[in-house]
Amino acid sequence: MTGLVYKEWKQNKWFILGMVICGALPLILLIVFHDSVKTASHYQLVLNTGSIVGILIAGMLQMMTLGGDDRRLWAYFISASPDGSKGFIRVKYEMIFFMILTFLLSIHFFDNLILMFTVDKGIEGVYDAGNMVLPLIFLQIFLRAVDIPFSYRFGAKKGSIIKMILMVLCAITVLIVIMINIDDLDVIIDGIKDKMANYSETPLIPAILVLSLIAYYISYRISCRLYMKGAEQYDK
Amino acid sequence: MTNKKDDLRRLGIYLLIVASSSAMLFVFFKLINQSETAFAILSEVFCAAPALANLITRAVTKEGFRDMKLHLHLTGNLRYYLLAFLLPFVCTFMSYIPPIILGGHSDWLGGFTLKNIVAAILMLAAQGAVMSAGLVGEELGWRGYMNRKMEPLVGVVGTVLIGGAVWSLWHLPSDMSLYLAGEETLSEAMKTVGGRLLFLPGYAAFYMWLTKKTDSVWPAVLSHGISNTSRTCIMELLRMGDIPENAEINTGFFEFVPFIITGVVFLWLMLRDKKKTEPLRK
Repeated sequence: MTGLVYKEWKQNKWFILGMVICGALPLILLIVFHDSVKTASHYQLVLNTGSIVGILIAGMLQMMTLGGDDRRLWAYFISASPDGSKGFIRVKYEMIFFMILTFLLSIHFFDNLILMFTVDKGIEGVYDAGNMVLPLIFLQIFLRAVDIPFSYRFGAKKGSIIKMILMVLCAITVLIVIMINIDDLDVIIDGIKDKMANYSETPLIPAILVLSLIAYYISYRISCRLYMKGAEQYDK
Repeated sequence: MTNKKDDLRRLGIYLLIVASSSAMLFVFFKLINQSETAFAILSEVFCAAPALANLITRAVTKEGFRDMKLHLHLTGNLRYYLLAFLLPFVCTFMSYIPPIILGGHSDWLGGFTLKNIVAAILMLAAQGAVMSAGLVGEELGWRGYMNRKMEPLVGVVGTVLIGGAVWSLWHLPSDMSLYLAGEETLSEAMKTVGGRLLFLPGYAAFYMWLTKKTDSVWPAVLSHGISNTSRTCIMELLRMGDIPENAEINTGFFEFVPFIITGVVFLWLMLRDKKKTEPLRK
């Protein structure tokens, strides 16, 4: 198992370290635009934009760690090793989860640093982006739970195309549902906002967060089943 | 003998580094009071000090970085992870709620409905899974290094008591911060320090047991995260009830009883396990 961790580190260390940089993106933006960032709303914009762009880039880097393993020879080799393909996939899932956690810790630290900096400068009314980041982190965990099995079943490139088609189909379905309920849309959105604001009073939001973690585990089990099937279609 | 000497030297270096991290906050207290940015940076360095001390000691003594106990070891150990999640919540619950009921204030517990408790536990689980990772900065040092060097020197009981005391005293800068800022009397600050000395050895025993059972620091990390957020969670549930604004939720010594019991139980379990394995070693 240690060998597999070592292999992942050697292969993906820049992607892993990239998580720290993605978390530091709000600070990088602040340094780049320090001349024009003056008011509380400017700082808030930097915090929010930096956090969202950071999450998007972090997600991309996490997916890039899956490339390079979709080779038939590697699949046969790893399945014959003592840890087997399950061990390999487990380390991959653990590594991606740790990447998400590294990003979360990094963004938490740098967001806090910027907030404290604004306090020192006497700028009031800047809020922590953490309330926005945490749900997005769970969304990221859920998206990885969907991404990884596709990537192992069809290979990194083909997998992402198939996933994209399915995502577009999902988006169209959601749009149709919205169009049907267009008259009640305000009520629905207000209801969601209310549930988000008072998340501790209803089990729905916490349950969704826990379900995304469960989905990640189920995704691992699915990937274990699909990996050898997918290996047959990989390039040599 | 040489091993014990090596362990003592490594433990000494480790403790020196973590003590310096505590001293650092006292030295820079004025700066911390003046600048929130300095506070944010120094407090993060302080929180990561035990893990940094582990890495620095390993590098300085040329011990190497093997066996850091960083593997999750989930297979076959899920029950320990589950216990790591549940026990701190139960302990915190037991340290606040029975005294409130015994004090005749059961009407304060209106927020403890099944729906609210389920929501709180689910939120705790979700947050614990992601937010507790930051506590690897502490657990990699205390459970991942200090305990392992201390145990051959002072035994299991000594490790729990001395290790627990060291861990408690390392928190001195945060416990004394209000006193140093002139917002608290010395006796109040000492009460906080004493309270920590009473309940942390209990958790120290539990975390040490978890680390030994799973051969990983992650259950201790998870448990530490849950124990930190459980109090907020219980307070949130109390706030949802009919609790008067000026209500004093100070449970006195009773607050520490669940942690002391936890400490005794897990200490006994470790001693029992040690007895079982000793004849095998001989």
